[in-house]
Amino acid sequence: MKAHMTVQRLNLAYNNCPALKDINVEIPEKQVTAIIGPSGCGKSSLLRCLNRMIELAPGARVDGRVTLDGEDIYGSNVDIMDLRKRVGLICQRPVPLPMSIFENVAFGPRLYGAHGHTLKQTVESNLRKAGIWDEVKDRLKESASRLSVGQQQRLCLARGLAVKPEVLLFDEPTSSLDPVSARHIEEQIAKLKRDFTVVIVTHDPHQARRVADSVVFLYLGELVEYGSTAQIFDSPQENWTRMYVGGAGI
Amino acid sequence: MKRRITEYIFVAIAATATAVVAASLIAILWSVAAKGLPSLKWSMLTQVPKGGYYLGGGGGIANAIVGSIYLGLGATALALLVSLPTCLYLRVYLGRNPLAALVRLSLEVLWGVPSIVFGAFGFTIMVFLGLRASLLAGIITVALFELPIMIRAMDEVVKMVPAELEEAAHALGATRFETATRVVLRQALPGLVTGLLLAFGRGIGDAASVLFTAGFTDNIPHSLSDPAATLPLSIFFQLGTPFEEVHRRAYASALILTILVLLASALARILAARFAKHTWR
Amino acid sequence: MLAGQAMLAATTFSAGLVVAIAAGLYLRARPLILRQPVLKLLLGESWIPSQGQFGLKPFIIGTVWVTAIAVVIAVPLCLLTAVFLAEYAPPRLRAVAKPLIDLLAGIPSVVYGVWGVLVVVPFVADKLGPFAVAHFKSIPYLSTEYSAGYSVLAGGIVLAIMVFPVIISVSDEVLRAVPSEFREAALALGATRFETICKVVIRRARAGLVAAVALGVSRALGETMAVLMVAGNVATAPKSVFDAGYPLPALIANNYGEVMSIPMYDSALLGSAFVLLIMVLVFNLIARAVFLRALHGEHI
Repeated sequence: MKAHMTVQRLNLAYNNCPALKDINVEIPEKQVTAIIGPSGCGKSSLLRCLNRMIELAPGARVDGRVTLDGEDIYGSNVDIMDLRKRVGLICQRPVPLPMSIFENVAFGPRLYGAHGHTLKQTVESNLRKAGIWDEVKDRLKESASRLSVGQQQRLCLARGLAVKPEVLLFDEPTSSLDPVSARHIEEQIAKLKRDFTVVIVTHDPHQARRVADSVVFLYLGELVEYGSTAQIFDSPQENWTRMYVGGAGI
Repeated sequence: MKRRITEYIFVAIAATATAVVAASLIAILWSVAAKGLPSLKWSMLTQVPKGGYYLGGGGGIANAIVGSIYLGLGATALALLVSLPTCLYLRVYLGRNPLAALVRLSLEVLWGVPSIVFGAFGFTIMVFLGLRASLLAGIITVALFELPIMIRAMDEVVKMVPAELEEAAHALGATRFETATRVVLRQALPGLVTGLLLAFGRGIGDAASVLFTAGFTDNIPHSLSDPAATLPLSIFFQLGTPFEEVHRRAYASALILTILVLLASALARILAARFAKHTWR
Repeated sequence: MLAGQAMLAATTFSAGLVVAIAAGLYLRARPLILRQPVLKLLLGESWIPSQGQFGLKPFIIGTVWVTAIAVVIAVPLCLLTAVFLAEYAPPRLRAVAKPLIDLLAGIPSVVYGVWGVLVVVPFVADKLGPFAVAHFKSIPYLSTEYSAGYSVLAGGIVLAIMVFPVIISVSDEVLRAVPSEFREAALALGATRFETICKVVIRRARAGLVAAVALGVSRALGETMAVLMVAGNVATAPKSVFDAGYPLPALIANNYGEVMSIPMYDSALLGSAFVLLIMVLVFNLIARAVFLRALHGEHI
């Protein structure tokens, strides 16, 4: 179980107010890692540290190392755009770009020079991978905002896949969705781990149990415990963990 | 990387554009101050033009300063009389009524009407009412000119009053008029004052609206039917003479006008900023 | 309630004012329109009031020239500035630059005129003019043999600066109103800030930006004093930016004094005011149509 990314002694503060304290975890390659914990414990913040999107938040300061394939992504020579290509982020609320369905998926590849026939193929294959091709294949030129919320989320997934990332980060991908669409997304995630390393933040421990191979449990910005799903849910080492997963009725 | 370089170039261009824009403001203020300051004398503020003022003789522009202030105050007060009820009516009585959109459309179009057209219309009214070029005619015309400006500024502010406030007032049994005056008006007051000051600044600075209607004189107006001198026109006429000395006075007059207007503007903006802290999304 | 009725009266007055102005001016212009065909007035090329010739074409064209030059100068500068202030400028810089630019909005027209005469006219006469004579001989609209400085170019430059604050402040607001999620989504795909702005933010804010420019053009069309002082006021249609021009507002302002001395003169001038009003109205309608199309057209 090779680690694709590692987090070493990570500290995050917003305007000197600590949000994450001394986090040390490993993200295994081609597996699904879930980050769970109660609201406000820093899950989304930690996720955003993994592709440096955290730097967009006002007043955010990061200390520590986060490595991707052994290299520190906060190092001085790092190309942020390339990093974000390799580590993609799908947000909680689907955000269709103000363009057609086709253009949404094509956005990323176009930045890197794709065009013409190859581009069309890329768009189609990624819409398939996201499980939405059949529903949109006849209306690729329509505005993306006309899709239902569930469809938009899958579109965002297709869009994120189109830049050929190595790691996919999901920030509460199903919390805006109805149960049926949520199941769709979970199915896609299960298939995705064949090709990608997946990190998913979720406030629903049930979902973590269904979908993840490893689990990271955060509480109030601190790492309480992390390990395989089986370990966390069946034989948690820490009291907090036991209370949290126990309290969720698992 | 090509994309990086494109970005750097773009930021550089955008920053330069901003600098050009900011620099043009500074250039204007600088010119006015540099040319106007040397000729600014106390006598300019306190004396009316003596005989031969426009040929280089003695005197000041008190006629224009007082004239402009009378005109500005009168016009702004008159405009307020119509703008405020309009804004409140739009909000409280019409609310979501489609008529409100129509009214707003008409007002938006009015906002775009050039001041010279207001001047021409004012002239028409003047003739129709049998008035001569006078302070009164000028006040009416400038009031019409200020109307869309004031309404637009006030409307922005009145729109921001939360609907819940209105509902709460109605729920307590207030009539629409009471809601309008005791609740909406009070809530929006700072912003309304801002709109007032903004309109005042625009009103005294405008020449085209008073050109036909307020007349011009070397004296301070004593009644509404006297013609009134205004700063913008005074500057224009002084600049129109061939005498360098009078031109210098024109620059000083321009400085005085600019200071007056900027004071009103600055005050308006300070109040607006203070009020803006109430906004929520 | 009486007070309610008073407020209704005020509102009706405000709403009807535009129509009243149009009607009033039209009625005063009618005597002339009854005597001469409208097309001759609008398209006639000579303006000799003493002979009863009131061709407005040179003035309409003059207005278009000055406004067009102002737009060409102002729009790129303003959009770039708005993008810079909204997307790139650090908060402290923004806090200084924005009020500074807004201050421009308060400066009276005459003062711009004074500055125009002091700075812009000599600049056009001494620096730009000779440059154009030397280098632009074969470029239409830019070539000239001599420029006294008083030109549509000078008018356009001054007008452009006058509309800076309008276009910039509305554009800035519009750009800031684009929710940050859109920017984040694009950045998360590896786009640079520039690419995000061009392809996502501006796309989303399109309608508002159109409105901002329209507002600026509206202001420019009607400006009187500043342009009057620098545009040269020669009653022929300009052939190059260095020629003098005579925009419609300037015509009306310059000649009001003789209104009563020549027959039909007052009708002609008030008719010109009416034409100017119609020009502004038509422009507003077109801008509105474009705005609505941009709003509903694609992907909002």
